[in-house]
Amino acid sequence: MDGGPDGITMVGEAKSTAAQGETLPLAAPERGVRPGLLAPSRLLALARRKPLGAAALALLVVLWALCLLAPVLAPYGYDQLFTAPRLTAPSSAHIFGTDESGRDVFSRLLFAGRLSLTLSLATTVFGVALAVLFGVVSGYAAGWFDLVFQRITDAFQALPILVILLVLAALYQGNRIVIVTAVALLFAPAAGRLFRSATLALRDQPFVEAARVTGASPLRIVLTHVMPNLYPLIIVFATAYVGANILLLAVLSFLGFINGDYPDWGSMLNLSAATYMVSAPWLVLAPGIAITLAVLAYNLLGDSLRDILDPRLRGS
Amino acid sequence: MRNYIVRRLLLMLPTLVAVAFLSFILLRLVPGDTLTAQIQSSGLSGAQYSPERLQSLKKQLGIDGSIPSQFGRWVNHLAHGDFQRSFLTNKDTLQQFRERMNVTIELGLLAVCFSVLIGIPIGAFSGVFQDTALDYVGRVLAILALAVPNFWLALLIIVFASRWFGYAFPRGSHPFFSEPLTNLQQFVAPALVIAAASAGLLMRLTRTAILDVLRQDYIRTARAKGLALRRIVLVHSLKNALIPVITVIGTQLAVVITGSVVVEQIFNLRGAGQLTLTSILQRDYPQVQTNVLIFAVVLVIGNLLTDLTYGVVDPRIRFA
Repeated sequence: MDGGPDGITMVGEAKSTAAQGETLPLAAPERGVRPGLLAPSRLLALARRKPLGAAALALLVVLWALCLLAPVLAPYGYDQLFTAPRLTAPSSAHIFGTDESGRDVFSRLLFAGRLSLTLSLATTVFGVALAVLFGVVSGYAAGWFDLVFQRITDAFQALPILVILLVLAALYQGNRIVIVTAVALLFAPAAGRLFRSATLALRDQPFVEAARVTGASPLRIVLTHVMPNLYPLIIVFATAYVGANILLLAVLSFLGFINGDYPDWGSMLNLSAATYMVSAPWLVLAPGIAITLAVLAYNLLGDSLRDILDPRLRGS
Repeated sequence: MRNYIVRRLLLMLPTLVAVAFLSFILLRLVPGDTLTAQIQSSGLSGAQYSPERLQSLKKQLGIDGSIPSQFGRWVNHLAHGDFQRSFLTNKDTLQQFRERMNVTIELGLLAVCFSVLIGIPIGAFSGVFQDTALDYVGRVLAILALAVPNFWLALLIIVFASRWFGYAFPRGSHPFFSEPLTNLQQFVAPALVIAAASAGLLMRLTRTAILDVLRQDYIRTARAKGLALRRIVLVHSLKNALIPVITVIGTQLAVVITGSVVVEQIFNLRGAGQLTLTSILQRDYPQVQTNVLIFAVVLVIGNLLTDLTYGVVDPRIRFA
């Protein structure tokens, strides 16, 4: 994974381009050849400096691996009925017990995690992409476009987002694609403000002006001069945003608004919670702990990434 | 300041129109005639409506005619104080919202109080005693509060109150002014659940704000003068540290509204949040539309108040 042509390496390049311009997110420039940001030695040093972030990353890797490998790892199928008597307490055969249909809770948890993790990631990628698009265009174009866009953003920020999502989910019978799109669209304007203000700060920097003077087109300036400086912000924001999306999607499926036979962590709480939770608390504990751990890991990773990539944002 | 308020109030108007339009267009985003089909299957009886009844229902919902004319009519009705009638009960939707909103207001007020009372002291202690055991406990609490799903917290409280203490939350309606104790038994737990995430956020913000302030020169002066730590924190630091924190409290209105939709349902409180959820489930579109609009207006006003508090708590900020 040594410094390929991916986003993180470009952050490093952007720094050298702009070092003569103004303060930039990364640490003070070092002299001489330095290893790529993703070189093992650097990663180790980072892990030592940010043990919590490293632990969070490890936890995420474990969670993702467990869930993606569910077909291999899970002792039973997610819909395999009566693997044991109904509602048995955790035992060696069923480490998280069984539910009201005698299904193995551990197996269901792993399969459900696939949906929760992938759906929240997809929502985040889509939402952040839209937010960056809105924010950068609005910030760089300025003028009337910016004004109109900001008023639209005001309106979006005043919407009770969960209620709107519930209405859409009900109208579209819990179609997951509609829900993912709606979450992304509803959050993108507000999130776009962040990227807008970052773009506004960049657009009058000497190195951007220089590019403009040499006759670079706005598209070229945005893509090669503005965007690379936004990557740290984008990465930090996206990481923290995944946690929020896991929670939001969990609420939707907990309330029964996401359709499908395939379980996710929220819907496991929905079915089990109502009737059996007092007599069989393991039904409530397992999915809830899974959601909390995943959100926690993303948030902690986001915090550490923010400290590493953008010290100015610390504490915000 | 006055000019600023007037300008902000004027700027609110386009936002309100946009919000009204968004909550209006929401039900019309549905492709084809799905809405009609949904109306067909709505109602408690589930019976099919005759074409005439369907037409009158469409008219009642204001979905006959072109979209701009529908919007114009709807706004006109609203301006005359005429909110539509509920599909289910045929009562005025605004009236139904009013009947339910006291529960949500009480829940929201309690939640905001709890989040402030829990979040700010713990955050301040965390900051003052940076890198001690106390700080770590506070920080862990904060990140946990931000990661726990609120509905799960609510379930846990109900389950373990019942398992460990054999406790069941009181049911039914118990107004605060006639039965304050029963009322609080009903409201404290759900309010704490709603407050959790905000409290976590406030803890983190207060901690960083305190850390910032404690590094300032005037704090060093206070220390050099030999003032007690308590006095330095309470008199010299907290007041300045709270400026960025207070302004966040207003943004928690959205959390309260979202939280009330979920938590009222779990704790079986008959508030505006539950009304919204049940009307979505029962496809009572006029009620949904009214509730979305009211929530949105509340949030617009909340955002305005948030911006104005900046100036009140921080005299350095001038409104241009």
